[in-house]
Amino acid sequence: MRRTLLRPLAIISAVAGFALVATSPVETARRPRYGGTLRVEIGASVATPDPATAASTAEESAAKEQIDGLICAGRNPDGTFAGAPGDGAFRVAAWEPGKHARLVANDDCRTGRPFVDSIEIQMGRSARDLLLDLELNKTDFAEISPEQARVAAQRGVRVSRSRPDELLALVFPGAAGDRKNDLRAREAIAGAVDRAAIVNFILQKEGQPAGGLLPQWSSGTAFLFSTASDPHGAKELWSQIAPSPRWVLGYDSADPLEKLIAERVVVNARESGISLQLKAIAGGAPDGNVNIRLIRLRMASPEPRAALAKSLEALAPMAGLDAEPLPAPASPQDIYDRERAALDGFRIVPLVWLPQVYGLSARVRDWTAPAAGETWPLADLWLEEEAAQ
Amino acid sequence: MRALADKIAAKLPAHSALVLEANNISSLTDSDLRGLRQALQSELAHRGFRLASSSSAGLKLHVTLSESVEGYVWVAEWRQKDEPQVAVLFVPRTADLADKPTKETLSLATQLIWQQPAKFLDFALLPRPAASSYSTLVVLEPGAVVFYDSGVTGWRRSRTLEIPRAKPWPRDASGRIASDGGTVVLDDVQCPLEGRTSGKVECVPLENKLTGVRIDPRIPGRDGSEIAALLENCNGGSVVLATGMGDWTQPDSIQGYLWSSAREPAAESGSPMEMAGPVISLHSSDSPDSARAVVRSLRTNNYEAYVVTATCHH
Repeated sequence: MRRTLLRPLAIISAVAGFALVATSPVETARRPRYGGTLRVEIGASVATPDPATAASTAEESAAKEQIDGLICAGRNPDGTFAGAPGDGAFRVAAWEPGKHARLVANDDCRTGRPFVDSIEIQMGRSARDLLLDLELNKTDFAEISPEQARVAAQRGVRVSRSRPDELLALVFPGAAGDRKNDLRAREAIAGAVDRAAIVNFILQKEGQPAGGLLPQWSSGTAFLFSTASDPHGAKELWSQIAPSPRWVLGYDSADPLEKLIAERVVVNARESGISLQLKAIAGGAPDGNVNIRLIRLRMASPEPRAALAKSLEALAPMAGLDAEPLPAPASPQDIYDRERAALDGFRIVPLVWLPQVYGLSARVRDWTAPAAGETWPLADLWLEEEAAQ
Repeated sequence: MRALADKIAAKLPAHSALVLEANNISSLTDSDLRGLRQALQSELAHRGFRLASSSSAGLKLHVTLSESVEGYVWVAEWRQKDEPQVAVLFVPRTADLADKPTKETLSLATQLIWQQPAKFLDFALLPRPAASSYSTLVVLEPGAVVFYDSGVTGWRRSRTLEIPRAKPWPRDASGRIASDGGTVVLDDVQCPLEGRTSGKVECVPLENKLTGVRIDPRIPGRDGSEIAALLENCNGGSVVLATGMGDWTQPDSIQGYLWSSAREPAAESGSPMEMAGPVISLHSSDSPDSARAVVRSLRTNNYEAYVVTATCHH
């Protein structure tokens, strides 16, 4: 059943002889339909929907944030979720820790009842199972790792991508005042990385090489930061450092994409004569033996000032940089200057920008990939009637 | 370009010889690039710089027309004492920069009036008594009518009238403000605003009665679009505006049509006006040549209020 709404039609006086009308029912083709159950699968296992309970892994934390976005009324300016769980578009009807959840539409939601009646969330699904279920139409919505997007599309899965909004970068933890040799070493490692190869081969052309802390679509000035690799220059620089320091690159052991990219960085470094060791870190915890960290950081906002401020808030303490606040409002020149200053010492080395990739069933309508800083807009999508549950 | 020339002039020695190179990585067209390059050359010459044609004859000044999520970003790069120098300038997206005049009969222009992150359904500009300027902006949100007064620094919120409802508003609520700003219509109710300065308005069920003969302009291929019929007459036809047929996840456009006879479909006229997101609502206004459009920008995710003006080229 299509929703019928009242659309007023204005008076057309110029067509002689016709009087006109106040309000009349008009059915529009793109009005949503209410009803149905949205089937969602996620890789993470979320123990509890309670926003006050911390997640144990980065993956669980990210999935929990999405669920919080569905059950809480909105966000406060500091990014925390507003209201109590259940104030939002959905309420938790059933929760089997780490396995399954059932959310039902909140009829009293301040921003309007969601279009779907309920959401069934299956947790702890492997990447392979997620893809298979999308292919077999056993699920309506799942997040896909960027490097799998091409395969998914080739297998007939409907794929949706956000703008590249997640930064993958090397961070060199440490104090601000360091030795000249350390600066050279960081510059050499930064020059050795082949970002284009990471995008083309590991990410299967999903994403963009990153030179700055903001993507081109957000700041308009990312093209000013070089993303070219310089293996010869890196080799030359490294040869000037004697004795060569021992560098250990740490990555999140639960993140297969981080592992692939960390291994690629090690290969690139070796080609420039730089010896890097890899270390998998459980839960992303700090590790005193690691002097380079591979990190993933999502933009907090599409707006360049807000996004840069939040990114520096997270990165500066880790990299031992001064986190002086940006002026408000900040001009593009201010933003560019601050980005340049943060990157000048090679304590942060941007590698690639990743998009968020989603697999959708054919019956999902009005899906828009969430912008940076937003959670899944599942309350706004609706399901085609033909295949409704 | 004057502001960019000022920035460059502030950093370069006076009377330097410059070799200007320009490229465009924004959504502006090549003809925009040529025009802006000429304007910059002229501004630099006006400030005493000499424009040379070969790089051996002067300092290479590279200008890039780029674009951010918020607007255009123009960047000038040069080297001074072997150090790279960068000047960055923000330029808001404006209709007169991006929109080209057309020789076709009807041309459309948009003016951004208001934007906010929260959803709104319609807006109205109320004129200052006995003056040509607008003094009040009325924004209809689901559940509230918000009034803004014009001030030196822009619109300032002056009062809010709550629209009570026993149940929450539907997620796809629709509504409009009467052209005099005295009544709002929301889904199945109408709410007079007269005499209310604060608190709640009282709404009554909407009477769905036709008050005359209903004439729908027939627009081929636009069934289900938002349509606004203007009072403007152009070359013997009524001016009708219609949105595209995409859903609410896609950028939309507004196309002008001329409608001469009830027996004939309306005919497309002029180029479509591309919008930054789906057009949520399109209503004719009390001005004969303009309509009100609410757009959800896919760039910023803000809801934006536009006045869309149709100009007839006779």
